[in-house]
Amino acid sequence: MSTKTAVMKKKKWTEDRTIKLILRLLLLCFSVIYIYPVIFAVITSLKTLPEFYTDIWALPKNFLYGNYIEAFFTGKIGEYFLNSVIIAVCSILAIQVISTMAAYALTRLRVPHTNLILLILFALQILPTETIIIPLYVEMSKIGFLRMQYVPIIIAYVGWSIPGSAIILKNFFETVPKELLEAARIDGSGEVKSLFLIVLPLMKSAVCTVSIMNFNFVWGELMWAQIATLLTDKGLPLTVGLLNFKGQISTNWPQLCAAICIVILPLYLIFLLMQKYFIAGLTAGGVKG
Amino acid sequence: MKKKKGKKYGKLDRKLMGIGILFLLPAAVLIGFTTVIPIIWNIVLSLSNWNGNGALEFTGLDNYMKLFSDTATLKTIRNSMVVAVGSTVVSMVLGILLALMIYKMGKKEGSVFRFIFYNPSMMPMTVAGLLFVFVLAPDEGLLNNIFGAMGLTSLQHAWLAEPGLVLGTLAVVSGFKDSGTIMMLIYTGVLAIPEDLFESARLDGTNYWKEIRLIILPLIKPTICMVLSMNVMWSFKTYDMVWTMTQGGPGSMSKTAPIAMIQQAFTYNKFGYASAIGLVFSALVLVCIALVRRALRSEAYEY
Repeated sequence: MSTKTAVMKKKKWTEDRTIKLILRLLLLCFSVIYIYPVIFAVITSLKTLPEFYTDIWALPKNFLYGNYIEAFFTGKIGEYFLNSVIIAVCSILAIQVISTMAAYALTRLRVPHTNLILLILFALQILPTETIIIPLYVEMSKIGFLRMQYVPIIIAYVGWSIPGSAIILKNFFETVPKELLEAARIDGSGEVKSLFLIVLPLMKSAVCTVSIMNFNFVWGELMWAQIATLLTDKGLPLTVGLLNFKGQISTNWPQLCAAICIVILPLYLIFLLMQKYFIAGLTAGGVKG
Repeated sequence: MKKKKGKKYGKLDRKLMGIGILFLLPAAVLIGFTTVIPIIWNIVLSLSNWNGNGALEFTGLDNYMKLFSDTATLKTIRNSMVVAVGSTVVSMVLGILLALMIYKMGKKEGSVFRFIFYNPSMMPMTVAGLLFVFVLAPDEGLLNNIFGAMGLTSLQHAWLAEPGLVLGTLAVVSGFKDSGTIMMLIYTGVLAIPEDLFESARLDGTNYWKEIRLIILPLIKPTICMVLSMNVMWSFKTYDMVWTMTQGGPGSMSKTAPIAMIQQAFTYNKFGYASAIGLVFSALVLVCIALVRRALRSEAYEY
């Protein structure tokens, strides 16, 4: 018996190895397609314009960072970047606090009609933004929010992201044992205190997941950002700013590439540091949809 | 679970309920301000004529009549559909294919590949769009130069400027960008399959194809369904990509419904008509999502 299984095992083993080898080669081919545009952009960003036009394949002659300086300061990518960071941080914090409170209320405080509220939240977050933006613009301009920097953008992002975030957080809250809260209540801890000091620290992964999910949305949103900054050139976020920049430089590809790299590289870093939560955010987003 | 009314609430219950409503208040105010009021207003606007200033003139269903007889607007809705369907197909096929190859790789190797394939999905659409404007540029673009270097000059095209090509190009780019996300989700689905299933299958002598066909695909079917219905939802969000890459051009060959809506409102000041476009488009998106979910649900109960 042993020789036969050994032969089969060996055959199996070699077959497995060939398959793995073929798959690896295929994956490498795909990898080139997926990563080469970025590598090409990085290489191009280190060249001067004439250098680029003489030979687009050539490696940069010397390490030229002029395009980055140009894009960052003259092209104002640095300023846009800062704006986007401010908008993202404020929105994410506000979304987190408000939707945590809402989710807590829906799970652990005896609010009536919880199911109805949840249903409404579900419905609201599938709704395409196209139904919202035009009247929202009118509304904000009537109140005078549009004259303010950042404010109209942040308010809209927060309002739109609360339903989805609250639903995800609620699912997490359900995993926190009730007894813990009841014990806290008996000890005389107030609801705000037990929420932010007892429950929230237990939910680090939930908080990270929701933050990353919202970051993805806030960092990339274009339509509302564009409309909310129609009348101003202050406080533009990166998405809008990049398009302006592209409009100014037209086909100065090395500079465009430098701008793209300035945006992409920090994103890679965030991804590598928080990989786990990115994926959790994707699946959580899936469940909610 | 129905709550009992009135006196039957304990003192603590009532106190908690009060706090609960207080806790819900900020969310309710913000959602009301940014979503609920705008939707209601949108319906009102779509039934009237308004130039953004001055008085609202109530015109009933005129805007909708106009929309359904306006071929230019109908074409933008059709374009939206084409891009959505195209990008969904591309991203699902690529994503599933990649996930089925990656799960075979070792831990370290797999994570490098996952990073590489996920990288386009990490970028905001605007950034990915600009990158592809560069890649697809007619003369200096990477793609045409690669074709040129391989001697395939007949395959060189002005990808974003030829009327027959532009929609397809947009759909492929958008699908390509999303494929990383799909790959991640499907891969997590494959990971959730218990290892001993693979073990016993291996002992029975199954090969790679059989493993995929008989174990993985049937078991990740629910994941695929979930991912597909999410993907349909995303794929209609074409505004940022199309605006970044072609601004609806050449002419209005690649103009999608959201761009038409924004232009009607902010270029031509026809806020009523724009609202009608927004509502019709959103209704279409919701119907598509519902149809896909329905179709998938009956599929899941098949056996």
